[in-house]
Amino acid sequence: MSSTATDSRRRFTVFTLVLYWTCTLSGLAIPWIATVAVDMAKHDQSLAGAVRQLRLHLFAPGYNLFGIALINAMPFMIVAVFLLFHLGRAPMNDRTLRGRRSAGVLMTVIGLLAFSLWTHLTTLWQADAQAALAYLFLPFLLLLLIPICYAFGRALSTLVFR
Amino acid sequence: MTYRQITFNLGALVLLLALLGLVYWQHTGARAVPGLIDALQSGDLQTQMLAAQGLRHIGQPAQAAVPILIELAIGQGRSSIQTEAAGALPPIDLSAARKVMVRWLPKLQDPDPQVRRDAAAALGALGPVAKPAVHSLLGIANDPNTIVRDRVVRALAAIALPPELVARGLTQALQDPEWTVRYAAISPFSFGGVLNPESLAALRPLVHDPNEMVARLAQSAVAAADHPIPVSVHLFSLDQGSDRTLPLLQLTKLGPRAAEAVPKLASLLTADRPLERYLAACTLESVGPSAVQAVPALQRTLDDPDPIVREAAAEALQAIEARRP
Repeated sequence: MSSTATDSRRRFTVFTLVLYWTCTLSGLAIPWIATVAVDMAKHDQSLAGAVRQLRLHLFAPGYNLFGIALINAMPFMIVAVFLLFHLGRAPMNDRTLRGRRSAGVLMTVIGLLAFSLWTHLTTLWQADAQAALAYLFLPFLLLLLIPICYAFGRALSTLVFR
Repeated sequence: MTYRQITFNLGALVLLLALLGLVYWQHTGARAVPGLIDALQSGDLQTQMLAAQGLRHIGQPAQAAVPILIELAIGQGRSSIQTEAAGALPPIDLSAARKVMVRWLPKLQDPDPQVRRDAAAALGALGPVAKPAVHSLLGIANDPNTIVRDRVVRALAAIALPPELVARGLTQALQDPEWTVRYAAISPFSFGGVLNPESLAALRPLVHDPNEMVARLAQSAVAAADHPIPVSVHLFSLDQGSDRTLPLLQLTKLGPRAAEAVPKLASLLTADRPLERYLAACTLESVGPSAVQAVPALQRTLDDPDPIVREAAAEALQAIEARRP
């Protein structure tokens, strides 16, 4: 095997793993990032103050930010496991297929991140008793979004990888 | 990627999930109590208040926190931590909640309105367990200080027992010259409250109250009176919810009309949580003679390990026997 092929394989493995862990960890972190961001932007807290508030409310009844993070992370973990197999077992000699799969997966991850972050930010910004319901429905909406984003990414990739 | 690489990364994800699960497990239920006790002693108001809420949520397994909660509930600290600590006690230890009630009761007569206000707020935070405090609260229902009257009305609504006495106090407060007090008095009728004819008569003119918020809430309360929640709905809530406090209180307010719920109430006299056993006994007391079929269960409850539950069972038996034709 040529050194170019080995480099390409290694780069693709690194890309897959970076995407895998980014997807998993950002799914966990998004609710916390949104909480800190809203505390800073809306409630004029310092970063240290906002992080302290986050820590205090992680397990507090009625807030349970730790539980919310776990619920939010579930669809992201499903995508992470899917991409690990989908990209990890992609045929290395078929550049077109690898590219299309990568585009589909990348679009899925970006779509999920954007939708989840937007939902958390808007829910926290206009917080009321009903807003918390968003946290229960969000994972199901994210699950629905997975095939849509993937199909969109694959469709876009056909324009690039012919 | 090789299968080994994939397996390794999958294993790492499983490990991460297990770690997160472990962290969650350690911070919930009885395992969280030592950490919450430390937080109660932190001196930081927000940390203390969140810790008190956490302990309230845990309930009986948080018994170790009772001494510090009592200290905070009757101490010289801020009113907010006093009420939060007082509110945490009933689900954990009914007797401790009554101790706090006994300490606050004389302060309702304090010459300083701020002390009277704090006393009323703390008694209200204790909820239905502070039932013996209702007479004293009604005694200062015409306090010259508006905030004291407001706190008294809110306390009566939170205690809710005995229903007739509380309804009388709330009905009287509907005529208060201060709109905030009238608003506080309507609230319990508006949100699932049960209106007797006297309360309804006093409430109707408030539909045209000069204060728009009061008028709107009064309209909602009058509308709620036209469509009372059936007993079957409260029974359903008792079976579904993890917290039975609210449906039990709603049944208590129904009085003899809650007779349909007697078998369920009798079964709740052996519930795990003392607060639920206490409320079940109080509800049977308000049902009166129609609760006669619960007498054997109530008699067994006279041997309940909790003295407050025993007291409530004795009062229920007395009410059933006394009002019997």
